[in-house]
Amino acid sequence: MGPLYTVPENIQKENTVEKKLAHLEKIKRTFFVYRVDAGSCNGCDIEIFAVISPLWDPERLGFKLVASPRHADILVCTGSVTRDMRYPLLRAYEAMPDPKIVAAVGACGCSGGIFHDAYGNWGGIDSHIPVDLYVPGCPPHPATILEGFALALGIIDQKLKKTVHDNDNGKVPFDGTSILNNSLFERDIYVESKSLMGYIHGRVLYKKYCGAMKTAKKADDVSEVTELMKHLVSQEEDPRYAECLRVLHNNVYMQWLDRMMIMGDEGKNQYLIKGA
Amino acid sequence: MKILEFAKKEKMVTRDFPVVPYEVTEGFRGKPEYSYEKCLGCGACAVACPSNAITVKKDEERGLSVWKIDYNRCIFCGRCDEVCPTEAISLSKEYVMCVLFDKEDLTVTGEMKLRKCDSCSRYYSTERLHNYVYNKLISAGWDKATIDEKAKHLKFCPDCRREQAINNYVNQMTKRG
Ligand code: SF4
Ligand code: SF4
Ligand code: SF4
Repeated sequence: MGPLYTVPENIQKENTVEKKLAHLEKIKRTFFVYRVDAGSCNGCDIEIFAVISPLWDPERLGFKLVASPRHADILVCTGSVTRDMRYPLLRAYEAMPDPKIVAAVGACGCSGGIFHDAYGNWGGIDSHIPVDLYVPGCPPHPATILEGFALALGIIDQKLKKTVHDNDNGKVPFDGTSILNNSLFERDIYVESKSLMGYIHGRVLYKKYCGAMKTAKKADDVSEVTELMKHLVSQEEDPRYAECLRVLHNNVYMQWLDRMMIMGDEGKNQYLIKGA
Repeated sequence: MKILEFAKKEKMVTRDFPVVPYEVTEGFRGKPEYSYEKCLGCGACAVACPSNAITVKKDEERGLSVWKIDYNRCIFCGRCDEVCPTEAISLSKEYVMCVLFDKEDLTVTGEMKLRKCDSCSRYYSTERLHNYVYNKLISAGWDKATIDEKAKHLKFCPDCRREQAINNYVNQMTKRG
């Protein structure tokens, strides 16, 4: 498949990188922005309006929204370019005065985003017109959008660079040490933590539990570990973590003691931690 | 004038954003940060990623597995974070990530050595994944003979492993008569 749209030669000639940079230098104090919604889900547009609110106030930087592409310095495009919005996008682009600066906002604008392989859309602003500023995010945070304008105007520098890691030494982030000399114990704790609290908080819970267990002198000494856990539970400010730490101790740890034949069901009751 | 008086009474709400960094709240879903040292190249994140921002490709010529994330496409859903076994990728609080002109600046690539199958010498997994699974195996509390028996299977690609399993089974059956 050939290119979907070829930028006319006269526009190409007026839109070299040097000319764009010179133009950006010129409009540093005040720039006019025209916004095109090329088939977005409206999330990005709402964030753009959030940027225009007094909380972020881009007019400090000289931002001005205009009603016609003929007045615009910067074309802000959102959306993954649906078939119906393709012509309006191209018309707005051609109607802009040269040199044209185009910003793609949102994952959809940058590359098609979550809709990149959906039917009926072309996948990204830059599959049609040359894009100068990429603002990723779904939707981008107002701070990210504002940062994009600041970057284009040269107020701040670009932070990200293309990164390639290629020095593989085969080392892995697991050295084979384990609390009860069996990594399956950690696996069980991890699985239980995740099912209790989800992946974000579950991971914190797992770290809290294992961090405390590592301080124990003998991890299979049940009376020491119970004291340790009681202390940890009483110190915990968040009741959710306290409750889940209790569950980990009473269920998973006790089960493991049973499995390792250290303690059966009989003597177990005195080592259970009671809830508040 | 009324507005000015009102504004004076209430304090300024505008943030000095590009000058003063914006403080995000706890649990903010920002850019997924990749840690090459921790990654195994297992590809779980690439399978989980709903927008295919993460891809893991086999480069047979160079014997490498190429892990790549394209932040242009990422929707910050955190599924990669959820499935990653080693926390090699996890959502951070970073929101500063715009780039000018070149969208390749929004990519991170990690190349990992591939491992050949001991039997058919085809690439089937990364060195790291093999080492990681081996480390897990030896720390799972089995005796030496069991570990050796299980570790043997690690060194073959899925096809060869299947073949061997069938052969073993047939051998046992014929021995039994
Ligand atoms: S990037 Fe996300 S929020 Fe923006 S238009 Fe696409 S789907 Fe909607
Ligand atoms: S956060 Fe979601 S979209 Fe982004 S790389 Fe991870 S899985 Fe993919
Ligand atoms: S899931 Fe984690 S370890 Fe596996 S390839 Fe992705 S980042 Fe690497």
